Amino acid sequence: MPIFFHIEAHLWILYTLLGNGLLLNFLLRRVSKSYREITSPLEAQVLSAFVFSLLINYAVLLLFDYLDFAFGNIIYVLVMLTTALSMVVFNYCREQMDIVKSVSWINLVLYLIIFILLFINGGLIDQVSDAWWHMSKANRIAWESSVVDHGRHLSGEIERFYPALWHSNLAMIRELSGQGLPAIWNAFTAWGAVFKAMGFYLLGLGLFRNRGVAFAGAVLFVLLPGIGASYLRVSAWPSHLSYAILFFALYVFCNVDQVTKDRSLVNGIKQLLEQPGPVLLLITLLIAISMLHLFELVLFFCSVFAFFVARSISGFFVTNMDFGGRTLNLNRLVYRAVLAVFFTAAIIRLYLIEYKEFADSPSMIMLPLLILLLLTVELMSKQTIFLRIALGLILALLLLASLDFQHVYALFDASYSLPRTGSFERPLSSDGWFNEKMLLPSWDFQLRQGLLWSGLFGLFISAFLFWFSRSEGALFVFSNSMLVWLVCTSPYIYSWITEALDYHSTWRISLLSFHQLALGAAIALLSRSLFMDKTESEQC
Amino acid sequence: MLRKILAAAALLSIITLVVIDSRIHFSSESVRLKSEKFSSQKNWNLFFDQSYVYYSGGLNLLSDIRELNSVLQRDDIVVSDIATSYYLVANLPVHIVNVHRHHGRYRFEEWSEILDSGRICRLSQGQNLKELDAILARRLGQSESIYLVINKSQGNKNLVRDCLSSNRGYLITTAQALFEQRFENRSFVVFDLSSRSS
Repeated sequence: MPIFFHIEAHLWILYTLLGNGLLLNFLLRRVSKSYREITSPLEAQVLSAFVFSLLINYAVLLLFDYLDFAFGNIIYVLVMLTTALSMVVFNYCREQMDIVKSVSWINLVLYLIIFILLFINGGLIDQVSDAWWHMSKANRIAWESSVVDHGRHLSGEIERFYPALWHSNLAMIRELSGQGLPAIWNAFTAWGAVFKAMGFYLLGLGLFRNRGVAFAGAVLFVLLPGIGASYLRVSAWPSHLSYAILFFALYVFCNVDQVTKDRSLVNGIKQLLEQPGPVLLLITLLIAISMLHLFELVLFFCSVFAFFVARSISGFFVTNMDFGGRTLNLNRLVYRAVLAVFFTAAIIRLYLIEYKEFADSPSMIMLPLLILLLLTVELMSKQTIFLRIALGLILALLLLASLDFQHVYALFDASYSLPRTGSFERPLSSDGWFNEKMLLPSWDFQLRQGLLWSGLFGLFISAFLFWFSRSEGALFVFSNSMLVWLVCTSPYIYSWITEALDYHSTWRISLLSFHQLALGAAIALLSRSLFMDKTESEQC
Repeated sequence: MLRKILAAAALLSIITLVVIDSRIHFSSESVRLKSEKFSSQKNWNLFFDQSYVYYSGGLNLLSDIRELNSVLQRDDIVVSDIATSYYLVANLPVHIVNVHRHHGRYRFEEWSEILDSGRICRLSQGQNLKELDAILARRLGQSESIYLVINKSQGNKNLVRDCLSSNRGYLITTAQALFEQRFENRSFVVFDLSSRSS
């Protein structure tokens, strides 16, 4: 194996997927103070540059497609863009280019190690995998010089819908570099792995406002296997790029949440309009996610929703603050909007579109709907304390009743699982109910590996951390982990989400089990109390 | 003091948990076992390197695949073992029929039967040839060019289990008698299945 394996592909990746985006980032840092603040860590600038580059390239490709130009000629536009941006940046924003100030050297060492590891490991799976389906799509885009008409790339038959942002960028790099797509895919994996680790570092920083916790979380993200975390060899897949951007989006959300959570609706919106950098960045990231893999958009809102529910409940019990019922602010508005969307999606999808499918067994989806309804009543209206506690207890009982405890047991004892049907492990106690329409994810979908034991301990540690430190970061991790456990062990909820989204891999929600951050926070706090003899409880 | 001891115990427990859970990345045995059991390496591993990918990921074939461009034209149909099919469709503007079950294999029932049963690898048996002829007659009615591509390269573990590759010596000899050979390079032999009808 030559030492500079696919070096040309690496150089093209560096230029096309970071170059223009980085220059645009410098420009935005000059223009917007709030953008400058939120991108103060190097990681935020790199990930912004990556997302901007993807979107810029896609916009130019769309233009070329419309004008019927060959994609190979895009280099002229990219170079012109680089020249124009460079002139502006060097003349007006030179001070913003001093990114050395925002560098944490220990983080750089971590990223370098990840890059070298994945450079040596490579990114092609030594089996026929979905990676080749993606390359087939990118290849067709390149040959056709069209980002829109590529539905028949594999077999000539129409393939399932898949957003084409990443495939279009891959096609462009193929056209510019002359390298084969497998070589580009293989080379990009090292970059994608670093982007994921950077995203996770930012998520930790956003939640805990502590570099030590964020760094420990990023290290554990690389080390602890399962649930997409240490699967770094698949970092060139569109879903994994989307994971990196999802982590970054949650970091930005944390910032927006801080600005708006204690302000009234009008003041919150006013504040965001005065400093629009974070909101515009968040919108850009969510657009990129929806153009990469789409499912992470659902994950983003599930994550935020779980956090809001947990904050409301914990606020009520811990500080006697009622998040849901008080004066409306922007956070509550978002929370209610998400709840409304969940309700609408559930009713439209399941009762109107899938009516025939569920006509035989409507009770199958009654339970998830009842849970949502109770959440609405519990959190959105003013109730007496007695009624709120009663509603809370009913809700808790319903959630418990929806669990498949035999399936939970099978997590610890693999021999207890029923044989898989297709790609699903049948739920145990509910086996045979509702014409076998109930689904649960097989624990071997990276789940057993990830949830046992670090995932399980992470859940308890995050609860423990929140109880003692009142850290909203810990609450965020706990609520998201709890959501993962509920979805993966309740056939009612799992089947409902799977059907409502019409998506076969609902188990990917387990990515939201941010146990690496809980363990990282515990390691950082314990180390500090042992070796520094003082504790800090900085938080989101 | 007690607090420090408890903190140290908790820290040690968490670090032990992390060490146990992350052993998978530092085990050369795991790489060997995965390779033997045809399981793919998705987690990074200190002892995994690109030499595995170079052959079993088809990277060694890239220049030879480019040469196929002279014979395989846009939208041509390619019949090959499943791994080679994907290597080709990721590099050339062709279509494949030997697709993975996750990618809608059910849509090619007639091809799946002759491919999965291995009957396509025993074309000298009259019944198998008739079956292929029947499929070709139906497909060629739609004016498509159909090519059989046989991958001759070695060292790719994905090819070992596929008769279109493991049986390639016999298959090439048989195909030479039945179809027009259109191309050959270091890694591939291409036969024009359409020539059968003429």
